[in-house]
Amino acid sequence: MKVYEKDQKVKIHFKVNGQDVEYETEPRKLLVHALRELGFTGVHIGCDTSNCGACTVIMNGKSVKSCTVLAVEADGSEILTVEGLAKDGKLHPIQEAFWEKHALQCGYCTPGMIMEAYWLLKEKPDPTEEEIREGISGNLCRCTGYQNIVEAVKLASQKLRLGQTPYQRQ
Amino acid sequence: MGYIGKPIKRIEDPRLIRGRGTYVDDIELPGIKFVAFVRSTKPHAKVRVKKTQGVFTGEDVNPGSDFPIASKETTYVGQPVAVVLANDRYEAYDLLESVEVEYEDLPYVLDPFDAMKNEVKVYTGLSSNIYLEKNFVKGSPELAMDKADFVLEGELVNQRLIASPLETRGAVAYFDGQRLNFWSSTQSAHYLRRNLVNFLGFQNVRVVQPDVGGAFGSKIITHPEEYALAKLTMKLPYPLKWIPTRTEEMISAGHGRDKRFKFKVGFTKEGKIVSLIGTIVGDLGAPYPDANDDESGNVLSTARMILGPYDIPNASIIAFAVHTNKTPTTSYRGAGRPEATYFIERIVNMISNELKLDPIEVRLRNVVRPNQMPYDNGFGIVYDSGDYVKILEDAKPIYEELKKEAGENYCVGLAMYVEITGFGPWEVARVLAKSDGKIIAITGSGPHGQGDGTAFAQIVADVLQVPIEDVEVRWGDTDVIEDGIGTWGSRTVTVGGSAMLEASKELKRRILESAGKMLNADVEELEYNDGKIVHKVTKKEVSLVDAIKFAYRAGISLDVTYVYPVSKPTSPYGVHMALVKVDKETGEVKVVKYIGIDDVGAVINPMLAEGQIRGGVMQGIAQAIYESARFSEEGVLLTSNLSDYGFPTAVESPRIEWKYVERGFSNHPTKSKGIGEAGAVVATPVIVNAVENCVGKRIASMPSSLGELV
Ligand code: FES
Ligand code: FES
Repeated sequence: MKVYEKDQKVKIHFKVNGQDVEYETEPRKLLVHALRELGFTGVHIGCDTSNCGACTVIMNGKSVKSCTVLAVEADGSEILTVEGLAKDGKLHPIQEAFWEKHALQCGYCTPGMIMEAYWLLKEKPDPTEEEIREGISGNLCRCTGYQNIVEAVKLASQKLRLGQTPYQRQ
Repeated sequence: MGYIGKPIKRIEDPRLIRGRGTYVDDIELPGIKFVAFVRSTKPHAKVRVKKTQGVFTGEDVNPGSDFPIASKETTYVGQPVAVVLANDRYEAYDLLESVEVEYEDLPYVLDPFDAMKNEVKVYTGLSSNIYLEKNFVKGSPELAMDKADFVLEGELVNQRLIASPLETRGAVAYFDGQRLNFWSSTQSAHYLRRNLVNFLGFQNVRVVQPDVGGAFGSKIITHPEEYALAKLTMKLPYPLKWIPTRTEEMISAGHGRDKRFKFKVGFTKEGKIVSLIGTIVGDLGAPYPDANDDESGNVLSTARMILGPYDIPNASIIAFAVHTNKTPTTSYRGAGRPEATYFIERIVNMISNELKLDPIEVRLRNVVRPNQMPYDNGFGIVYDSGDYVKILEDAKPIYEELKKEAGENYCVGLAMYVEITGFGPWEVARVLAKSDGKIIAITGSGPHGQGDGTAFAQIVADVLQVPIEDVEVRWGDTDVIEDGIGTWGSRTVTVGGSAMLEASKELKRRILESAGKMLNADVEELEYNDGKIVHKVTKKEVSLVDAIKFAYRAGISLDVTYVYPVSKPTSPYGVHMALVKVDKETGEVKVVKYIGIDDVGAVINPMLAEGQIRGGVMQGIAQAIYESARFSEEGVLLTSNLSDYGFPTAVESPRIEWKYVERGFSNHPTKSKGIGEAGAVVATPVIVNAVENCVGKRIASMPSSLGELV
């Protein structure tokens, strides 16, 4: 068992969006701050009590609120953030659907919301409206009233099931 | 082309869906220090802060004064009393805990009616807790009240809310020895700049509004922390960043609404309102001048709009804006108009229930007739255009349909509103063409989610007849445009858009002038068609790009700034309805269906307008059944995080259907009226009226809490 002192820095290794990252941190640092310091500023902070989900990322295949994980706990993990969704400049179908359905306004909840949708659609490729609402209930949005987000997730589920990603202006 | 009126997808989205936005906390500068604020834990006390390394006090920011930062006396829990500086936010919050603050308790007052007695002063420097008192009278209200068939009395409470944008406030400040550079999560770079210039007595200030994660009125004013940051960075050799925690945000910013209305209404047995007499009391919280100035205007808006869309011949309203030892209140989506709409629509609902008269019928008997337009409501507001009768008729079949759908435990409610939007005094637009043909449009307003950038691109593209992709829209930097007002009061598309429209027209004229020089022709001989300029007779043509390139050689500036002055607001209106389920066992209220019809004049982009309605309606619904800022008897906010406050999720939010009619246009070049606040203005009484109709007892306060209903 490794024991670290209070002010001692810890070296961790993890994968973010497929890239190996080495990061030195105090044990108390939250994963959300670590990711943002590493340049993944699409990961947002909307609260201090784990309610809002603006910090949602995929960690080892699960959606987690990165404000509620210590960076040291992420040692050895694989993380996907919104920055890692578009491939070769081409938007992911969920991103396309958010654009098409006007599912964002200020855009602050959007990265977390999109990652939650990504996880939801992996778990349940053809969710009902109720399942979508339940599925994103850990992600708060102050602007949209949610309806267009629900529509976007529905559209994304169709696109993904059909394997269709129609051409979008990038 | 022909983008105006179409549901064009947002030009703002590609960055934001990739996580490539730049919000204020995404900004880093070399050597930046993190700033945090020690906040008062007492509603009213003398304070003494022990100065140590890295700790600054009110005396450093505003010597001899308690605002923005309390130097000697604090007047609300959450007020900044000291500032700490550290290498990062972790260290800053460590340091906060070590700051020693001594408090000497002073008597405090939390209830505005108590405060009005002036027995306890909110702040020792105040001569009265009453900040403002204004009387509005039309006709002979007492006389008419005496003659009325029925008189109804009551008190309605429109509770305190917290705007709670998902991104808190925050700022980065850097004085480079010559100039203060200031980035802030604000609703207007230009307005913030003017405030900082005033406060510092120093004009070399550049303000940047980066991406902003919503505001809903909470980021109009300049906050104490912003002034402090600006002041400190002027003295210190490094950049400073301030980002509050959500808890800090909730205790110290974004508080809004919080008004009460004691009323007496007289009406005939046919349901015609003949007199309204009442007192509005708005709780301003503590005496922070920027906030008080903002919110006292909103109290007046409540008073001026209290008659709603109705032709009420006699009325007398006294409006008070009163200090208490609570967080200063500011604008929150609707800024005074939701309270007015809530009060009058609740009263009309009571009349309808009292007389057992259909709620649409009651409204039809009272609304301003189309031939009365423009209509002066007697309290200083003119409703410019529209047909209130017709929109009620449009609503009727939908309302009947909803009533049919309503089974046991389901209730239907309805409310109508008229709004004031598109405030002045002016707005600026700058449209320019680079020598390579690129069109850049810059607005003096400050969108922060509403999508006005797309609407502006639609307008510019239509005037210049170019593909929308060729128009780049920018805002939020005091360096890139002459000046600006900002984004609030549902003014941006209408007022900012009118400036944009006029600036584009002038740019087009100058491009024509350049083409004229190229073709040796007078401008009148030319036709501007589909991005080309054609000589009407010779049919010779030049492309837009060539005319733009040539203008530079001909010495014609293609950089147009247009200042659009505004004299009067414009009034959209509408009728909204909902089907609501009330569980009589648990008291749980759920909105099942929601339908709104609005007339906001010309709709520039129906998709964005609908997005505004859905977002606003959800906030209005949340006020009716979920949200409330509650204080303990010690003056401490009890709802200081997102779960305690009642912020709704996707599960609580209903489907919201929206229809629009275009009957009453504004006099602005865009012909549009504002829609940013309408949803929040009308939805609250829709829901409470529905619940009231269902439970069969009068509802005096919100949120319609479980206990109260069962
Ligand atoms: S920041 Fe709000 S849940 Fe993580
Ligand atoms: S788009 Fe602003 S919080 Fe969701």
